[in-house]
Amino acid sequence: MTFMSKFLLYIDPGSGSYLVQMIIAAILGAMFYFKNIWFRIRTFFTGRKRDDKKEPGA
Amino acid sequence: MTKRNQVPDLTGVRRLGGSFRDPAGFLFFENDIPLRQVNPVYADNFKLLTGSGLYQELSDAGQLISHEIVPEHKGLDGKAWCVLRPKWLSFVSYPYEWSFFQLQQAAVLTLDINLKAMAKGMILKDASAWNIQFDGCRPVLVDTLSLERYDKSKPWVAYRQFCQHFLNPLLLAAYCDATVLQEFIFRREGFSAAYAASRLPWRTRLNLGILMHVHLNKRLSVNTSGSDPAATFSFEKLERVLLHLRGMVASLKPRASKTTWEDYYSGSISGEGYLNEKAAVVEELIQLTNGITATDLGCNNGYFSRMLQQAGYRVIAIDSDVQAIDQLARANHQSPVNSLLTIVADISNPSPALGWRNSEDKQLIDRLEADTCLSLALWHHLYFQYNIPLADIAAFTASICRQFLIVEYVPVDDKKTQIISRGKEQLIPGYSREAFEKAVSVFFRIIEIRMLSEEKRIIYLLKRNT
Repeated sequence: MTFMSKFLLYIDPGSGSYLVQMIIAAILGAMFYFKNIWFRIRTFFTGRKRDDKKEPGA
Repeated sequence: MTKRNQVPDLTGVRRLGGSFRDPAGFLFFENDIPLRQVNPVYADNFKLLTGSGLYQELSDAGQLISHEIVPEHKGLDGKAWCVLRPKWLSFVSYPYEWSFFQLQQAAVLTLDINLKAMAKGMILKDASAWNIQFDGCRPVLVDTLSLERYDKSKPWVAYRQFCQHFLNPLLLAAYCDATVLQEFIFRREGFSAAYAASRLPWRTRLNLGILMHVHLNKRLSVNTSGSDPAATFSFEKLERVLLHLRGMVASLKPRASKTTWEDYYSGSISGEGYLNEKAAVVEELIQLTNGITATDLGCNNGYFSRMLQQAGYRVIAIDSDVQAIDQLARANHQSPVNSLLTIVADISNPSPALGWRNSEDKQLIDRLEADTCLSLALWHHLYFQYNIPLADIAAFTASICRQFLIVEYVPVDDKKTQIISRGKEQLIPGYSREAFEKAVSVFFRIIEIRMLSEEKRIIYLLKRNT
């Protein structure tokens, strides 16, 4: 743990975090693509709409 | 604030100890009025902030602190591009004093501001929990200068800080222990992905959000050194990441455990009868006080804090029980009147002065002073559980109470006192009604005395000696 903390002291604040965001965006993008197809199929049959925004504690 | 905590300057104007990290500007005090200096380096961003309509949109929604521009002011060092007078907040609190719900509200606010800003061509350059304050029950971004021009080709520079200050502590509080948020006291940089990953249960790896934002993040931040890849990001991609984070944060719930106070009233033998009588007495005594601010020390579920609120006070409700405060914060959020701020703090061990030169966060007892103080069923805890002499408790209470004190004396043969005094029989002779009245009369004079029939408890209305 001590070794890791010392190691992390020499990492710039953005390092790695850009890469993480790119990977996450790619995964979410792929999921969004497939979800969209699924929702289109579902809406076609049921007419139900999706709701996205949640409030804290809801 | 002591002299040591102030940055020396030649003008006699006080620069706030904690405001030095951002080259864009800083906060200083002039005749006790907080002002924010905007340096020329931030001028373009400031023009964009106001010109794009973003400032108006955010401040109208109560999400960003509103300000007025002070005309002709050259700032503390004479080099200001402009000087702002932000809206005054009567009480400053810090992340380690917030309950789960409050940190969650602050997290959602940070993401909402970022999303609104992106739509107007700006973005948050940092996402520190210390940039958020509570104006009553509502979180508000107080660091106006943390918004800068948005480069759509880049991911969010403050993403890691957001995870460390909001996502990781909330996840730990949701999956491990709700009291983890108080670790902010010694985790000023927040909760690293490595730390969160080490404490979160293994099953969280099966949750895609946590797998990506914590476990993957930990792996990449350790294994990646040097520069990031030449990023080719887009508005849509970042928006997707932020919306995903928002959904994740908003759906979290604190891990439940039995609270200290959960059945304090319902579990007591007298229960409802006692509470009703006490409520009537306290309400009557509150009507005899006047002032603007009030503190409720050891507020439990906030029943009496809300009584103070209804009497027109701006109230700070304090308890060390994170769950009681969390429930109160949730109820408070629904309240139509925004004049109550909930604080997690232990009166026997209040938050210290923290940060660089101990001058970034003020210690709690320097922030607590109020016109009226409510201190119900607290002194016997301080006396028997923490061995604090009555004279000391009276002196402390007097130091944070400008005018009125409503205090409950719980006698030594009370069932609750008997529980906490067990094994501390040597303290019993020093605890009596006479000793209590002697201790308070050094600082206060007694205005009213009300005996509660059921438990032989006594409620006093005291006025501070001038």
